[in-house]
Amino acid sequence: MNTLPKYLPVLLADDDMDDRTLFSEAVTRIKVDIDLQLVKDGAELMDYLKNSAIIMPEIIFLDLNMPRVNGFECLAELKSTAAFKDIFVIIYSTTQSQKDIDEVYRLKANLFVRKPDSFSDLKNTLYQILTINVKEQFTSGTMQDFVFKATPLSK
Amino acid sequence: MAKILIVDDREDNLMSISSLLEPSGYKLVKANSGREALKILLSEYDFALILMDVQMPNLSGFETASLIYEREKLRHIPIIFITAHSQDEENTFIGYKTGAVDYIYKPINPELLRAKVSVFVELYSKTHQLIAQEQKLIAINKNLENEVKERKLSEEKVKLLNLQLLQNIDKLEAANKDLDRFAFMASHDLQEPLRKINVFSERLDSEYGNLLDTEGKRYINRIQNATSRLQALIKDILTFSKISTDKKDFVKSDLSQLMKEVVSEMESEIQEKNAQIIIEELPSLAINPNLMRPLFFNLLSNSLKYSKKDVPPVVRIYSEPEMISEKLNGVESKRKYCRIFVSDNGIGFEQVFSEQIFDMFKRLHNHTEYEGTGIGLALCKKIVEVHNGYISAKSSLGEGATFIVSLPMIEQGEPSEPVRA
Repeated sequence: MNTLPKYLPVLLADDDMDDRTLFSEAVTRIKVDIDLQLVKDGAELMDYLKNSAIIMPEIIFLDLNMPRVNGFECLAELKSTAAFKDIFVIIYSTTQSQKDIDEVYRLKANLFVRKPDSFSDLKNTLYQILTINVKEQFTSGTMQDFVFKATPLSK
Repeated sequence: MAKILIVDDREDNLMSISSLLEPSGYKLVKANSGREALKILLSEYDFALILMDVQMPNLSGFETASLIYEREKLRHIPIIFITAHSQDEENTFIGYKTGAVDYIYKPINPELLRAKVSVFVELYSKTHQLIAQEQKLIAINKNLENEVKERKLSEEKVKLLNLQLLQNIDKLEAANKDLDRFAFMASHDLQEPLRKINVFSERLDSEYGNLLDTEGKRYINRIQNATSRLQALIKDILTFSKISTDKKDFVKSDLSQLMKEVVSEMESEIQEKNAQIIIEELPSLAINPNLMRPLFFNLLSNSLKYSKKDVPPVVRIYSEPEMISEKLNGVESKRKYCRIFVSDNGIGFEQVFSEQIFDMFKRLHNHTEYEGTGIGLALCKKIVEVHNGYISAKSSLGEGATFIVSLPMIEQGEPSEPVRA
C-alpha cells in the first residue's frame, strides 16, 4: 500500500455499506483528485488516525449513528485532541433533528451536510465541497453557514 | 280501647261494676274466681287494669294477685283490690309491689271507681303510646343510620371512581406519549431504507436506463413515484408525532404578522396560481408560533391546492371574537374565544364530510387528482387542541370552503390549564 497520495486525503466514517459505496462511486465519477479512505465506525476511525503510518486526512466526513463509538463521541475526541483538532470535520448524516445539529455545532464540527436523497444530488454536493478550499470557505463559524446548502444542479 | 279484667265470685258484684264502667267504653272481661282469672290471663295479657275482689273462696284476691305477678308478662298490669276495710291484710300486701296497686272500699263509690279506673287506664295508654313512640324513634334512627351509611358508601365510591378516572387519564396521556414516540421512531427508521430505494432507483434510471425499453423505464418511474409518496407520508407522520404539548413554548404573538410570514414563504406558489390573499387584522394571542405556522401553512396551502381550475384563488383571512359557554366540572362558565376564518373560493366539499376531513389519512380525493397525504388537517386539529381550541369547516360543493379556528383568548403570557379531554 505504498501508493503516492493524490491531492486531498479524505476520510469517510459510515457504518452503512451502501452509503460508503455510494460515496466512493460518486467521488470517482466527479473525477476530483482525492485519496479516499473508508472506515465503518468510530472505533475504527480513531484506530486508523492513531496509526502513525497513515497520512492524516484533511477532511473527515463523519456519520452520526454508528455502533460502538458514535459520531458525537468521535467528534468530541477529535476536537479535543491536539493532533486531530485541525482536521476539517464534516458531519454527514440523515438527521433532521435541530437538536442534533445544535449539538454537533457546539462540539465544534466544521460543517453539516445532510445525506442527499439522490445520487445526482450526492455528486453535486461532493463536487461543490471537494473542489474548493473548505478551510477558507467555511470559516465564519456562524450557524447560518454551518448547514451546507448545495447550489442546485443546473439542468 | 282499654281492656279491664274484673274478678269477683259474686255475680251481682260483677254486674254492678260492669254497669258502672261500661258507659265509659271500656272492654270488660269478667271472671268469677281467681282460678278463672288466671286461666284467662294465660292467653290474654293486654289488660290495662284488673279489678280484684279480695274476699273470694278457694283463691283469695291477694293470693291470685301473687300468682299473677309471678309471671313476667303480667307484672305490668295494675290491680285495684276491692275490699272491705282491713288494715293488716293491706300491710302484708304492700311488700309485694309498689306503685301499681290500689284499693277500693266497699260499698263502692261509683265516681271514685270511675276516677281510679280512668287514671290507670290513662297510664296504660300513655305507657303504650310512649312505647310506640320509642319504637318509631328507634326505627327512624335506624333509617337515618342506614342513610348515613349509604351516603358514606356512595362518597367512598365517588372518591374511588374519581381516583380511577385520574389514573385512567394519566394512563391515557402516557399511552399517547408512547404512541407519539413510537410513530417518531418508526418514521425515523423507515426513512433510511426509503432513501436507499430512492437513490438506487434513480441510479438505475440514469445509468442503466438506456438498456431498458419504455416499459422498463416506466416501472422505474412508478417505483420513484410511490417512493416519494411514502416519503411525504413518513415526513408528515414525523411532524405529527413531534408536536410539542409543552406550555413553555407558548408566547404572545401577533397573528397577523405570523400569517404574513407564512404567506411570504408561499410566494412562489401564490404567484404561480395567480392567487390573491387578503389578510384582515388578527389579534395577538399566547400561542406556540412553531405550531401555529404549520397550521396556517396547511390551511393556506389547501386553499391554493383545491382551487377551481380556471378561477384564480382568492383567500380571505379574518377574525371575530366569540363567547362560548362551557361546562367544566359541572360549573358553567363563558370563555372568550377568537375565531380565525380562512375562506376560499375553491372547489369546496359537501358539508356532510366536514368532520371526517379532520381524521388522520382521510382524503376526499384520489392522490392522482390532488397530491397529499391526508395528514394536513389532522395535524391542524392536533395543533388546535394543544392550544385548547376548536377547528371546524364549512363548505358546499363548488362554493369554496371556510375553515374556522377558535382559540381561547388569554391576554397574559400563560395559557389556561389544559382541559383534560
